[in-house]
Amino acid sequence: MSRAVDRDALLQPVLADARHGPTGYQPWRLQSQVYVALFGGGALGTGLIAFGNAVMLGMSTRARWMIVAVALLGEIPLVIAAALTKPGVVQLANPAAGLIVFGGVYLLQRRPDRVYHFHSDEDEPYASLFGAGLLVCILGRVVDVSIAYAVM
Amino acid sequence: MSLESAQRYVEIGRPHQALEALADVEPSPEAHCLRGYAHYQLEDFDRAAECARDGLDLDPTYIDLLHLFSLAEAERGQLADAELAILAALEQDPESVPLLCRYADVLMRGAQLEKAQQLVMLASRLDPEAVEWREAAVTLEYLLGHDEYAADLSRRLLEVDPESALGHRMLGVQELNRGNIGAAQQRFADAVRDQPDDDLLADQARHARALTQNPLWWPTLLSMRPGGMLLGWCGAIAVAVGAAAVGGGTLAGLVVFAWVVIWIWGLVAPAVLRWPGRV
Repeated sequence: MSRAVDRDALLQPVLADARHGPTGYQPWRLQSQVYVALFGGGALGTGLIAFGNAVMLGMSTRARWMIVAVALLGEIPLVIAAALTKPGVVQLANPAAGLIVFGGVYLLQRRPDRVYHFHSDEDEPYASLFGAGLLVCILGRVVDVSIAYAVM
Repeated sequence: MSLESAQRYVEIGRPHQALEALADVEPSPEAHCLRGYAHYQLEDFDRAAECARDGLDLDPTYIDLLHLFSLAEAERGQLADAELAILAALEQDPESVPLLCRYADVLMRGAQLEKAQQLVMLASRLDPEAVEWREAAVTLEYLLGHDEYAADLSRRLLEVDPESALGHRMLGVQELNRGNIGAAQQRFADAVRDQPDDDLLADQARHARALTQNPLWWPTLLSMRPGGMLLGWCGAIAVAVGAAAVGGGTLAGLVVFAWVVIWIWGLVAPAVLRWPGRV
């Protein structure tokens, strides 16, 4: 509470310059994204869902790139494991990488999600992740298996 | 009818009577302002913004109209306009704690939490006793994810203003998140008593009641209590050992299986059912 405050800077507008804002689309519940991580979405699928959610929450470009980076970093151990052992390892590595990425992207989305949730006056402020989540689970599994066989 | 009676109706939250009282009043910044606040109380934010704009056409420096316009535009999602309006008001009165806190609220809606924090700090220095910055600080710390600190600030807020609905609501949410459903219900009931017109709050109190009445939530409530799951596992194992002694391994296996199903349900229930922990 003791930091010096530059009053002139404080009374300058910042919201008009914000490049991103809420899109009007309902985001997905953060906790629901863990199912995408567990059931086949893997690192890339979980990252994709989180990226879509970041757009709907109006998160900054920097935060969106961080989600992409977390997803790509999470995919690296899967590729290494598949290259060093056998493609079958993807059965275990896919959900494991997904869960690790989920942890990272959850933290990135947590604050904007609270801001959204706190100010939402909708009776049900979130959209269902079922359709998009199922599609990404299938796609994520196909991509991970393809990568695993490609690097064997 | 007169501006004075309309003012009183707005103050006691009777917007329909306020609008009736204003029906024959000559257009003036004051009349537009009261009409706008009445529409705001009726949650007709488009009309409220329109009234504020009409009033500002007559007097662009009328602080209450700028404040109202900021409130209405923020509710309409027009945050940039809400910000410009409140900054115009602050230009005239840069040390007004309510205006600084109003600006902090607009920034919180726009996820500019760091700047909002600086404004709240400034307001707290200008008037350490004011309720406005305390309420803004509670909201801010909650949005920042500092739940314990938000609860601590809520308690301090209630010491200054024992009827603060926000203070009771925040403590209710914290109790809810800890699985202390009885305490949460009490907090929400207190908040509803202090702010009976708040639909969201009434919803929350209703859902908190539903939590205890719907057995599907019980495993989740158990998991949220400190040591609840450990207690659950110990109990299940004790029952399984007893079952093994009485009915053999199959019965013990069934007990463990049933407990694992309950345990997993407790974890996934918030995603499947609607979790009523919103504030």
